[in-house]
Amino acid sequence: MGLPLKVLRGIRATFHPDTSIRSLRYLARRDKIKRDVTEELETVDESLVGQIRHAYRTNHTAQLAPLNLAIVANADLLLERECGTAVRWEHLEMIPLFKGPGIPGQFAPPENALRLAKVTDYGEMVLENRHKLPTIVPLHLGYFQNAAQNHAMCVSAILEPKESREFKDACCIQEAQGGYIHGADERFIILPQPLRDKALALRGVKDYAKLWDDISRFNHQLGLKQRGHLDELKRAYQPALLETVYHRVNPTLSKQEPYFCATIRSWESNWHPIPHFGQIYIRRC
Amino acid sequence: MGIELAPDPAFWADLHTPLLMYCYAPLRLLNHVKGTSPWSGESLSIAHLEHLDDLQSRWLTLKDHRQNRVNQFRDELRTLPIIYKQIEEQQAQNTLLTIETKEFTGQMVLQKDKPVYVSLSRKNDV
Repeated sequence: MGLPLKVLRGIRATFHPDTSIRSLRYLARRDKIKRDVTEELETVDESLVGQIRHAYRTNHTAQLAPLNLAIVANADLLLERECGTAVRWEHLEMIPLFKGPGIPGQFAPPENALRLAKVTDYGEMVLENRHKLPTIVPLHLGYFQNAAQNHAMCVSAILEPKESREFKDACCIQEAQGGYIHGADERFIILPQPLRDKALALRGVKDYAKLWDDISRFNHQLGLKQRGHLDELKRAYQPALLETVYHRVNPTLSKQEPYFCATIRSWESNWHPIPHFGQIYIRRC
Repeated sequence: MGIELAPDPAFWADLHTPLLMYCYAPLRLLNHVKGTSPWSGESLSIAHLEHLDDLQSRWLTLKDHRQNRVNQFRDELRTLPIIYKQIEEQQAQNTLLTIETKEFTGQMVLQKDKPVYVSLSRKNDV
């Protein structure tokens, strides 16, 4: 059985450019094979391209509208921001960012404004903005509370002044603990970076247990008990976690160099803390 | 790796501690647990120092070198092609979007089309 004409044309272009296309027609397979390309036969593809392909193949192009697709070339995330000098603490490098495009005071600070009003059911959190300004719920905010099942958000949100909102796609981050979190003024946490893309991908999914496997894997990587309990991280490493926050020595200097720190600092015109607007975090291996 | 931007310093002051403590400090621990030696980076050489002017000169050279590296990285972020975005919420002049680039995924708030809050994490960064 001969090869399809398209394949022969490809071979001709690469290896036999002098062969005429007419002669290829004699070599090509005559019979046409009709293939059934159905969704059932295709591997499930949940990527953006896969969703678009599925919508067109099933004639459900209306599904494309909610996707609100756009390709934004050269988006400037650092618009009107300035980068400071990078500092490093062991494997973690941090680049401070100054200035910003917004007018300060448009959003209430989250710690001050946000309160976990209650957990209505496993996987459902009610957050309240107590401030007179709108606020932004930081992405993947969560709460630890004793004797209640800890929860975290899969998404960010904008809350109007005094608004209370229920989020039904939150995730439980403490597998074997029962009990609902009560209204709390406790400090919030943010999910560890290796879990964030997983949590975001699970937004909209109503299953409180959806992050347990990922938490379990994450714990295992840190040498902790392999279970869906994020509080294992806090219990085992709280001093080390705090140390990262409150590390005050310029971490880019090696062990011998702190002797020269005082001298170097005196040369730094901007040593005094400048108000930060953000940071870039890089794990250096 | 991640990029975290706040609308103003007061917002950042509230966000910074939980973000660094629970979100990014574990990255430092992951390497520590694996026993990977920390990246040595560019350190200040203090061998054969004779006077403070020499130290100052070496420090400024090193500082310039480090800043150039940061600037290169900054320039990459300034031309980051967003391959996917979805509007999640719109309130007055503020819009919350989910965005995805080749390397990163996360959400951001635009105020009059300017990014005032951004939280992006590198995909599969373990």
